[in-house]
Amino acid sequence: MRKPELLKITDGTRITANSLLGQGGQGEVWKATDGGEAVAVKIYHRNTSTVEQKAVLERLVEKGSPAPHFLWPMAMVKDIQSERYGYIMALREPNFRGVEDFMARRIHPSMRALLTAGRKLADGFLRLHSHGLCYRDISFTNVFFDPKTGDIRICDNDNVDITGAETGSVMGTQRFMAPEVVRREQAPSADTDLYSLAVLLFFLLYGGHPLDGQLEANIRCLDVPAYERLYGSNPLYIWDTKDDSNRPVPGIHDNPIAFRDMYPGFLADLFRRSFTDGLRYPPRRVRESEWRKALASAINSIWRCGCGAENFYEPAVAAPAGGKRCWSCKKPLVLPPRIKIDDEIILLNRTTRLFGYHVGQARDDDTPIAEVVQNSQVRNLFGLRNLTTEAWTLTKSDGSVVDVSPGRAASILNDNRINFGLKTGEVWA
Amino acid sequence: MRSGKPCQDEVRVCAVADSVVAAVADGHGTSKHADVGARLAVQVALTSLVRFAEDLGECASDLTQVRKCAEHPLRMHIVREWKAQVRAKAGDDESPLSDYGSTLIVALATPDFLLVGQLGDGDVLLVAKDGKPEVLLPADPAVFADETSSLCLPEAEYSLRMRALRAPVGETLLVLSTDGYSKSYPTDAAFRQIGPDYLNLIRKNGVSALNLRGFLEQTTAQGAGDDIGLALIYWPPSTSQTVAGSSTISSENSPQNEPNRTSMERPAEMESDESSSGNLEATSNNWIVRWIRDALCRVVGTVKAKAILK
Repeated sequence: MRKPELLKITDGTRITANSLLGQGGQGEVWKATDGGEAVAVKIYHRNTSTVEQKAVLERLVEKGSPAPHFLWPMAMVKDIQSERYGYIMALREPNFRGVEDFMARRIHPSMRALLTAGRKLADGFLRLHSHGLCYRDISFTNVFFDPKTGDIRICDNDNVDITGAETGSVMGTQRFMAPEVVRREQAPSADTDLYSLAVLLFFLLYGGHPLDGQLEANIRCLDVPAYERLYGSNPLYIWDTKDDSNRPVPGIHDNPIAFRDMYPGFLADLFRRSFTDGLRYPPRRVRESEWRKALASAINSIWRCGCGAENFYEPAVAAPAGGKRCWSCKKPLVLPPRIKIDDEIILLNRTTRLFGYHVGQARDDDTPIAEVVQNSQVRNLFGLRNLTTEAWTLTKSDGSVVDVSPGRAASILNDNRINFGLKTGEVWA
Repeated sequence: MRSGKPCQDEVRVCAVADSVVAAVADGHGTSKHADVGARLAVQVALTSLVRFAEDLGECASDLTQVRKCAEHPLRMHIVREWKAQVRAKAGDDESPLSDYGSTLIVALATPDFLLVGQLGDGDVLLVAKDGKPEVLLPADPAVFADETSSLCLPEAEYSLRMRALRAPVGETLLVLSTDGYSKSYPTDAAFRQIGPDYLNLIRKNGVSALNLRGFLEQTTAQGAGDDIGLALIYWPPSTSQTVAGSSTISSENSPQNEPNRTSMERPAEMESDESSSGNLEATSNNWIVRWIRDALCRVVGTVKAKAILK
């Protein structure tokens, strides 16, 4: 394929196209160099280079990215030879992998990473929607995450449009489209994005589709009307509380069956609401902020067994006789120390890290503000290391107060209180 | 393999209405009934792809929709149907699918688009008139050394990677092959040269003069010693030439060096239903010539070679 000769439309800067990264129905994406920096450039095909699409892109460039997770259009470009237009965006780093890689078991993220990816997705879409925009096509193909950290990248933002606009031609991807969009009653909007987000989160946590149960298993051929019934006119949650006719089928939907009782009840409740009331009544859909809070709480309650498996701590749920057992090795779980910040209880496993959102900071990046460390002299003594540039204040159980300088650790001992600046945490050990 | 086992590679093509479909499968050497698994894989794939082309309707002109529909429900249907047929064949729901493990490569060519899909190892090359071979699907990271993704694995549908492209314009050749072919070459670059080589041979001598089986037997004997499955789809250079050459191509439709076992069949499920198969054209030799909308002609060839015992 001929390399395009690219110019930034705004200032005429030359962009060098290096190699073709991919091509699809709308256009092609090139790896390119912009002033020495590696970027990606999407150039539209002639038939998709519409005036409307260009206007949408120009608006997105002007608005700027709502969150760092979005590979957002940064500047408009054109190909000198063909006069086709396109835009520059950040290049997706190679450690970000598709949700399909996860479904195909090519990557093996921890639950912490999956929940973190979910929390960041909810946060990203909250910020997008708060700008009056909607994404229109949340699905596997547009979302990538780092299987180690759960950080995310959201691509294909050229479909983003103002909520309520009906100019866009993108209706979504059937399995992720809200039922009212499948039924062609509504155009994609922030409300329908919420449905798609819930489906994507369900895939991440349960490894399947929330409506794919017995009814889906009955579809034995490529029956388009049957899929329209399943996802549009007659949707039914696999764990609907009133109708059990669409339960997951062993041998076909094994993942949701295996993960059904894995997560804390408050998270399962949100999925239930999304796919029962929320299926038919959009105002009942789970808001991004609700997902963000619930997913953060689930991350906080990860209870790591000695075998390495991740379980969940729910103080409100009475443990069965003999205590809670690990879902993997079946041995009794030993409760690690916890820290209570406001009404959140965070289990301090050896791998726990705290982030800005735990201590009331608005920032949402991948830089932890604290991590659990082991004392090098006393092996059974653990601490919370200060990874920030500001000192914390530690109030010990005897009432004495000491500073915890950056790089130093506060002992994880019962009744210690750590002031992180905006918030204070109480240690239970 | 040089083991005396039945050929575990399977290839088939068929043409229905204005579409051509091809499938290539490689049963795993370690699976007890790999030949059956591979045969069911191409049968299911052909039937599903034919139905998919019919069901698309007006969506066929929208490449994004084609890709989305290929990702769901097509690939899920192929994998699930293969599993159902394997279980039916085994007569036992508890029978391990791994006894029938197989890879699968598919192509569906219509006047609007070319859809290719690959699960596991093997190769999909597209050669345009400039003669440069293009690998259509990136390497599957799960394919490493002799390990490969397989139809028999859980969630195998997500390992069936699909790509939809606009229908080629001008002379083009698509090559689908099992890994026995590429393993017979010292480097990937050397293997990829088969694309332009085949294209040149077709240009020079016409499609019917290709002695595919001879090539493959020689290749595997001198190379990996593995079975090889190969399917070709050819788009002639231009409408005028195609139209002018139509009778010639048709009349050449009886290769001199026909394989002793043909792979050219219609999908099994369609054999008893003539009405639903439309104007499906299947021949008893290894070439199909199809006229498409009175303008484009596609020639499809397949062959498989059992490795020579040494």
